Amino acid sequence: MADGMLERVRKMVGSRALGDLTELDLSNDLHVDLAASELLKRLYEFDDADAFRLLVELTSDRLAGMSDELAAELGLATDPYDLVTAFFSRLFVDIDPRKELPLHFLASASDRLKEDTETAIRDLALSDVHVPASPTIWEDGITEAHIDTNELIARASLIGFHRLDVSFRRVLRAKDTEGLSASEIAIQMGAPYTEVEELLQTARERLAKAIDDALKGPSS
Amino acid sequence: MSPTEAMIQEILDRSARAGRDKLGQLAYEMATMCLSKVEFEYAHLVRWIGDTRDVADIHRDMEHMESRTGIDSDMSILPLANPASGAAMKASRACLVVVEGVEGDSTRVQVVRALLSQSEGDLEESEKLFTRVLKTPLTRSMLVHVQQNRQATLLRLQRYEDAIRIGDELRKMAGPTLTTMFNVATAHAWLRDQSGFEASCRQFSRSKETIGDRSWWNSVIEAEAEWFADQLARDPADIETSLSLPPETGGDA
Repeated sequence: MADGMLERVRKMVGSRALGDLTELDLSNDLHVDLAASELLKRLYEFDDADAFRLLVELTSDRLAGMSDELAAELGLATDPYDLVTAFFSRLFVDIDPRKELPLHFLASASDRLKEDTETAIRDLALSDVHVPASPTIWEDGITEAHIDTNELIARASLIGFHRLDVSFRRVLRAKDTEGLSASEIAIQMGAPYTEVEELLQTARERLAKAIDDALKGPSS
Repeated sequence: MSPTEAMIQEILDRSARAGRDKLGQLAYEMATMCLSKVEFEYAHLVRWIGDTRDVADIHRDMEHMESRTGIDSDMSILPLANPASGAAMKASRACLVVVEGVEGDSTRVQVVRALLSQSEGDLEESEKLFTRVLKTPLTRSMLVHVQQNRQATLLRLQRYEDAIRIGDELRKMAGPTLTTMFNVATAHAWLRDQSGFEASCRQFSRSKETIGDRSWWNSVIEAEAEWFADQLARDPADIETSLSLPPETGGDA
């Protein structure tokens, strides 16, 4: 990917903009930041779609990695690449003339992705199983009976899980998804074994209640 | 195609779709802006929120999006500045042509048609078009927008109970927004229903909506107080007290 990238960026933004950069190391944040900021500037100043394309080629892999890590850390169950795609779409249609260009593209993108991940989790957690688009639509006959029972339980479980605090989600994921024992989790977390046992117990109780609440549906 | 190349292509495709959508949305914004300049024979109906941007600003944003997307949206037929009331309908129709050119027979196109019919006074057609739009999937904000404007059509059709019912639905869904509750208050005033009017005024004053242009709303209230007072056999100053805007920090509903 890095092959020829420096030349392409240079051709796009001009040699002067990249200073004395002689190679473009895509694992070097300073290199990527410099090139990305110049490409973003070109997009906003000249509405240059080719600059945007190059920016996507240059940074999408890094952003996908960030998004993966964030989703794993915060417990997002939807596709993290969606967040990256949405992030770039927003950049592309951003035409606010008062906007300031970020000094550090990667850091700024990371902040934005984190915000989006948290929002996605919050939206999912706050959304109800019944979600009528409007009271009229609900009254017109979409009821719980119309939703497949398995789907309802699956959605309630997902919503219940996302309603838990991050610490509970982490410990449940470690135990039930990664299959670690309580002692292994204790080592991983650097916490006493008894504390992990207690955390697991509380997490299970909270999850059961959260699923129950989610399943109560419209009358809750 | 490698997974990375596939992801890049997906990003570029989605961005292109977002760009097209933005362009359509801007042309739609311009269409509604132009319609807000059409002279309206019934002063006591609020159809448009006060926060409309100038045509010149929307025009500039459209130019940006045209360049980025490479879509030729035939902007040459659009107004370059806010139209005078006599030219507003024509300007709005030009915007409709552009929205249609960018996105085909979309929801936004249908909404503009409904709004144009409303402004032309073809209220039955306007209601028919709004009802058709409501049968399509809408985002929450578009649903609110459509229903608020439909309330205005229903008020002019003298279907006051329907306007109140829609207001109730909107209140449950999006809270008591100023436009919704003002429309409901207007319906109650037409019905000379004192308690209904007072209740909707209370909801209006407790709205937590962020008010972009307080002076616009204040001027609307001041201008309409006399008509409300006449309908309800009350003093205009009393009406202005009932129908006061929420405090700057938002209401306490």
